[in-house]
Formats: sequence, C-alpha cells, structure tokens
Amino acid sequence: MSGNGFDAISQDIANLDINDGARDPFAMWDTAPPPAPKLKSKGVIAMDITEQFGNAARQLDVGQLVKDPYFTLFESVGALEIMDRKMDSGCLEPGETMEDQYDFNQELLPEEIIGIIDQLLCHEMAWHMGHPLAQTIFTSLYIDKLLSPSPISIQQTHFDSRHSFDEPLTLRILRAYCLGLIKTCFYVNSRVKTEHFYEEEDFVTHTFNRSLLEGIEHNDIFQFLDETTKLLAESETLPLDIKRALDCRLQFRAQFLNTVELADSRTSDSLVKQWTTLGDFLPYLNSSSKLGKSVPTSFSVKIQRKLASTVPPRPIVQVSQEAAFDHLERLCRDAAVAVEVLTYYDSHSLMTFVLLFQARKPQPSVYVRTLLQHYLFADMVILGTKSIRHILDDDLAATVLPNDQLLDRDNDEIEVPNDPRHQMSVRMETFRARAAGSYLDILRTICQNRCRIRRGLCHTIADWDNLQLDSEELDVELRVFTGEKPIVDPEISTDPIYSFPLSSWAYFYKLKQMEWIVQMGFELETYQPDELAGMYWYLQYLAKTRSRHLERIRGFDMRSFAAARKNPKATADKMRAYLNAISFINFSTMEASATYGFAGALSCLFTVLGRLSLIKAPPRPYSDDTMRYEVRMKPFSCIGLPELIPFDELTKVVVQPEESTIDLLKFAAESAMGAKKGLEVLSKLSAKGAYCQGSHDSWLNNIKACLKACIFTSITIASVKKAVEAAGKDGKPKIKVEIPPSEKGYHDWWVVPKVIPVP
Amino acid sequence: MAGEAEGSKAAELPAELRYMQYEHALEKQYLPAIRALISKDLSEPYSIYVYRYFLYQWGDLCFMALHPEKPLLIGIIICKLETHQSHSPPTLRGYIAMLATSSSYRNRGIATTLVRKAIDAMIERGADEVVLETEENNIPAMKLYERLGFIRSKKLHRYYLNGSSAYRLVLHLKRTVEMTGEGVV
Repeated sequence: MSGNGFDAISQDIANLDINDGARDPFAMWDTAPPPAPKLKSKGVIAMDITEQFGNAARQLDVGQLVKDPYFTLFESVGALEIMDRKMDSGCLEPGETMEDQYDFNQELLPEEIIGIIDQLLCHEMAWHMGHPLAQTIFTSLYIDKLLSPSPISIQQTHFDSRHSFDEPLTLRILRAYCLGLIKTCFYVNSRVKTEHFYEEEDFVTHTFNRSLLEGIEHNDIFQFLDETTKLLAESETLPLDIKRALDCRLQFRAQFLNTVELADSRTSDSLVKQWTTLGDFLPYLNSSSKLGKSVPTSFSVKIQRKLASTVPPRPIVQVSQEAAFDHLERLCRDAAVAVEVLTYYDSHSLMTFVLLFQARKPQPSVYVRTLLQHYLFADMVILGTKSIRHILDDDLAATVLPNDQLLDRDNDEIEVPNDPRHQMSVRMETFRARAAGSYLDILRTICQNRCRIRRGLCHTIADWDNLQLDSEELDVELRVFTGEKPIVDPEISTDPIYSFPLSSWAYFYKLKQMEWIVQMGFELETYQPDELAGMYWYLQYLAKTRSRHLERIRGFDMRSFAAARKNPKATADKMRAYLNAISFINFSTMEASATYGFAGALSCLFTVLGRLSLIKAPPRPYSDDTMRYEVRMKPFSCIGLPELIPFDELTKVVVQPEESTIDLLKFAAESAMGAKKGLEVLSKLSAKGAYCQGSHDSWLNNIKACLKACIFTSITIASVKKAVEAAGKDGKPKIKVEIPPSEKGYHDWWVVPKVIPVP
Repeated sequence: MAGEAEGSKAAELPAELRYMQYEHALEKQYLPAIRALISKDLSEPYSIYVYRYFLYQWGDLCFMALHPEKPLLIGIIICKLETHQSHSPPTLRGYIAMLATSSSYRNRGIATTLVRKAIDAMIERGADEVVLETEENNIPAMKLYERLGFIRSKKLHRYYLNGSSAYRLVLHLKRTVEMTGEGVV
C-alpha cells in the first residue's frame, strides 16, 4: 500500500459517520483487500473468510454489542479506536514522521548538559510521585538511545557510534549521568516491586519491556561516573561556575546510586549518613540550575510508540523544579528516619514507630515506604535480626503473659507427650501459626497509602474477630495444662473467672484497629457533618470498651505479679517483666481514656449543634437513617464483640433527648477538660513510658496536636454555651458553625467545629 | 467514571426541558452528541465501545435532557445494573458511570433530575443499591449525590489518570436483610 493510500484511509475514517449502517466493509480500500497472510504452522490451515465475515457483519445493527458474558467494563475501557489521535499511537499528522529526527552527533553546550540533567531529575521525581516511566524519564531521546538496544557493557552506550573514538566531554558527562540515573531507577524499581504496593495507584513499576541496565555491573557504572568526574576536573576550557555545577551533578548522581544500592542492607550503620550526604547536595544543585539551558528537542512524546504498552501515548508529565526538589529533599529526610526503625526497643514502640512514620505529612514517598517494609519484613526476619516469634512473644509478654510459663522456650525441649509443658508448647505454636500473619498484617497495612490503610483495616478486622474466637478455644485447652486457678468473686460473678490471655490479646488489638478505622474516617473526610455526633460517640464507645478490657487484663497481671513476689527465688528480671506489662496496660488505659473523653465531648457538641440546626442534614429523599447506618457500619457488621449497636439504640444515646442542651454542653465541657488533663499527663511521659522509643519526637508532636485540638474544643463548647444562654425568646443563638477541612485542623483525627458570631 | 464539572456562565432557557429515556434506535441521532458532551470533561476519551457497552445493555437506565425547541443535548446520565458478586450476600448494584450537563445550563437541577430518573428506573428494576465514584475535588457533584441520600463509603487513592483521588458514594435502596441480588426482569 502506498503512502498516499494510507492518508486516504485516514481521511475516509475521519469522515466515517458511525451511523452509516449497511455499507461495504471494504469500501475504504481503493483496490482489492490485501492478500491473506501466509501462515506456516502445523495443523493450521489458513482460509479466506472475508466474505463470510462481511456477510455476518451485515447482519448486525450499527452499535449492536457483540461480546461474551464475561467481558467486563474494565476490559471495554481498554478498547482503542484506530485513527483517533488520542487513542491510536500510530496515527500521524500529514507530513509527520513515526520517529524523531534527532542528531545525536551534535555537540551540546555545557549549559545544555546542565539543562538536560536537571530536566531528567524532574522526570525522575515525577516517576517517584507515581507517573509512568513512559511519560517521564523514557521521553528523553538520550535515555532511549542508551537503552535500545539493551547494552551489556559501558562501551555499547555511546549516543553516536562516531563517539567511540572521540567523545566530547559534554556528551561523556551526560552519558555517565544517564547511566547512573537508570541504574538508580533499577534499584528503586526492584525495591518497590518486591514489597506490597498498588500498581498505578501508588507507583508504576512497568518498564515497557526495557531493561534498566540490568546487564551492566553496578561497579562499572559507579567507576565510570568517578572517572568522568576526574576528566571534568582536568578540563581547563570550561568556565568555573559551569564546571562546578557539572561536577556537583556527577557527584550527586554517584551518591544517589550508591545510597539506593546500600539502602537495601539492614545492617549498615552508615545508612543515615548516606541519606544526609545525598540531601546535602540539594541546595547547590538547586541554585546552580539557573546556569542550565533547556533542550526541549531532546525529549519527545513519540518515543512511547516504541515502548511495549497497551495504552496510547500520553503527554509528557511536567513536574516543576521546585516540586521535584521538594520531593527529593523529603525523600532523603524520610529515608534517613526510616532507617531508625532498625533499632529495636520493644514490640509496642515498633508499632508506634511505623504508625507515626506513615502519618508524616505529606506521607513518605512510595519508595521510602517500601524500604520501611523491607526493613520490617524481608526474608521473614523482622528488622533483619528478630524472628517473628520473638516479636510476637515480646508483645504477649508486655500485655497479657508477663513472665508466663506459656512463653517459656524450655517447653519446646520437652518431648514427652503427657508432660503439660510439651502440650503448652504445641498449643502455643498453633497459636503463633494462626496469629503471626494477622499481627504482621497490621504492620503491613499501616505501611500503605492513607486510603488503603482504612480499606485494609476494614477487611482484616473480620479476621481478628475470628482470631479472637480461635484463641478462646486454645485458652480453654491451655487451662488444663497451666493449672490456672480462676478468680472466684461472688460480687462480680457466680462463675469462676479465667484470664483467657490469648483471646484477650486478640481482643485488645481488634478494638485498637476498630478505633483506627473510625479515626481514619475522620482523616479521609468520609463522614458528612450530621454523621459526626454518631461517629464520635462510636469512637468513645470503642475506646471505653478497650479501657474496660485493659482493666480486666491488669487484674490478672497484678494477680500473677503478687504471686511471683511471694516467691523468694524470683529474680529482678522477672519482676521487671511484670512491671513492664503493667506499665504498658496503664499507658494504653490512659491513652484510651483521653480518647473517649475527647470523643465524648465532641459527640455531645455535635449533638447540640444538630439540635440548634447549626448543622443541617440534607433532605435525602432516597434514603433513610437505618439504611445509611448500614452503609456506614458495614465494616463492623460482621464483628461478634463488641456487637454492633442497633440503630435505634445508638440514636437514643447520641441524641440524648432527655438531657437539656445546657446539660449536654456542661457534660461536653467536663469531658473535654478530663481529656485535656489526660493528654497533658501523656505529653510528660518518657519515650519508654509512652512506648514510643525511637520515635518520641513524632509521638510528642502528635500528642501536642491532639492537646491543641482538645483546648480548641473546650473554647468552642464555651462559645456555644454562651450563645445558647444569650439567645432571645426564639431560642436561636446568634452563631454559625464551620467545619474545617481535615488538613486545616490541629489534628486530622479530631474534627473541631469553629463557631462564628452572626448579627 | 466521569464526573460533572463545575458550572460557568448561564444560557437562556425559554421553557421546560424535555427528558428522554434512551433506546438503541436513538443511537444514530444522539450518540455523537452524547460522546461530545461527556468527552468535554475528560482528559482522555473513552472509545465508542465504552459508550456502546453501557447504552446497548442498559439503554433504559440512560436519560437525556434536551432543549425544548432545538435538537440539542443538554444533559446525559449513563448507568448499568448488575448483580455484584465480590462479597456475600450478592446485591443487585446500580452504577452511575457518567453524568454531564452542558456548561451553560448548570445550577438548574438538570443533573439532579437525571440522577433521580436513573435511580427511579433502577428501583423499578429491583436494585438493592447504587454506587458511583466522584473526584475528591468535585464538590458540586458530591453535594448533589449527598442531598439525595448517598454517603461516602471509602476514599480511593489516585483513582483517576490525572492523579486525583476519588470517593466511592453508596446509596442503599433496601435494608441489608432484604437485598436479594436479583431484580425484576
């Protein structure tokens, strides 16, 4: 087919009206249809079905859908329209060529090298932010030349074959930088791909069938960068400021490459230093950027046509230099902090570290988050040094089983089946096999993006409900072997009371996660204003339930402690184990009571604002309160304990119709005051006492933000009360209410309304 | 899928709009205008196959707002209704895929009327619930749905190609115990 014929077709299709029905399917061909392809495959006989196909097609209506029942919407969205320039990568403008005509032999000014390098850095950061390589780094013609065909040695990476003997220094610098850049991307991509992340949503690891220099050794590239730096130093022709800017770029790249290569190691003490050194390059890198001269012709959207991809070419992503540097600076800072997770203190501090690290704002980048996952979980060895059992036993010991025979490793050595220690060991192993996955899932889930954390918890919470039930069975079985004596107290119950340590532990974590689900809902602005009273009520209910549960655990821990103290052989180490568990229970109780005090205050405040019509519910003609409650509480509908409160009951306790508005506000004020005192006590705790060793600063900032939100709540309550008391005969207070968006408040988990006087 | 963009300058509208349920026979007359109206708000267009995927299978859940005098398409809603199996028990789930109104006719409740017509048609067919996604910054669209009774069930990180996040909005039309997953044929 001639070139002209092609243009004619494109014109024909452009004119083609979708509504023209019966029409010769080959009318667009000037001449006969192309000959059938010659297939050479055993057992396959090619035959021309053009006529049959044409006849069959004529039986169809225009727009009639032909598909099998399993063809989904998702697949239909993947359909492309040939000759639509937004969808068809082969669609050319008249006179347009398929590939770019770029002269790789042309000499570039040193300023232009700076310009290209800086543009590549913007593209690299755009990739880190979640855009595909195809729209970022791979739009560079120099990168394209470097990677295609895939080189296996440095010698094969010249931009132009004529450079093999005589490569200008400028191009040598660009080549070295590009090699370092792609190898850096290789390490980053491998790390992200290995961990749990969401393709496209978080990051695009797709390399479009291009190898990221896997064929060339790390050391070869590193050395090449180093040699290029030396060549540059010897050069006497370049202006000093240009020379310095180029040198900084080469050294920065070598450092970046080295850092991401080392970052996978979980033993290196120098990791923090690596990241801070890398960060130190940034100010000069940024300020010297003005020396650069951009070369827009060296980037092309067309390269995407050559890449293995099912999507049409999309525009080149433009990330500003400011945004790129900002991202990189944070990446260096966050990565240096992430390394600190490798110092293990205790299981509770570990979880606090991960929680607070992920709550940093903006959330650390995907690469850093996958590094954290790698440090935590790689090879199923926690932090590179601890078995999962170690962490799990630590956690059990620090909550429900301090210095308990169930965690005695010597039990594993007993092989006599009728020895209770053997039986304990077997059942504890069953428990660990069941619980370890769920426990690690919490850590894994909180490493995801903020939306996924909430969605993940909503899914895993059902698993924790089952884990609690399974553990209860084990608890009952274990009693036979531990010889646990129940508490018999007719004042509490006529039945003997057992400790149920394993299921107690599971219940504690289940409650904690239920609280997080509700709190993440505030952070992600999932609730409408008129839902806030109910959701804060639910939060205080969960926190109060946790507090009562902790009370129960404390009772049993205290009892074991008292018994142990009577034993003259008890060592100081053993005593410390009890004190540590009790101290954690006390801390968690304090934290729970601050939460329920604060949440209770806000719930009452929002109830009052609803009563005063300062927060109005939309008309909602298609919905009723019960149906919306079912949507909202869906994650909890399957939970056995605490059972979901029926909607009518919940309404009664939230709305409190029998309480006067002033009484509600008085209660809200007292509750907020109590929470404030609790938060103040918490803010004075040491890192050890607050179980946040390794992240005390972040923890303290978090508590202080809660404290500010709490004080602000008290102020709002007081203003509402004053306005209610001053209201005229119509009872309408002269105020209006604004609900600040999530990131504008003092703390994302505490939505504090703002009261504004109106005339 | 596609949402509704924010309003701009208003145009004169002399009389009541006409609302029309779509059917396959109308494809020739209206599909080009439907595509044009929806593509306006999209950075990357859907192929004609996507439109036909919905319109051929669920034409009765598609409604058009037309100019009272001229053959001019002013608003469009495109939906589907299927048994949703991914969790138990299954539900008959309506999905609002696309909603658009011409920028010069916004803030007149046209989109709300279209959504109501679609929901009514779904109810008639026995739908248990209706879901959709909307861009996190599209406040007018979110308000529209929330006024009708939808609530946000979850946030979807970087859901759209342009990198912005979305909310999943959900409207239950029945109590959970009454949901059968099967509709009226």
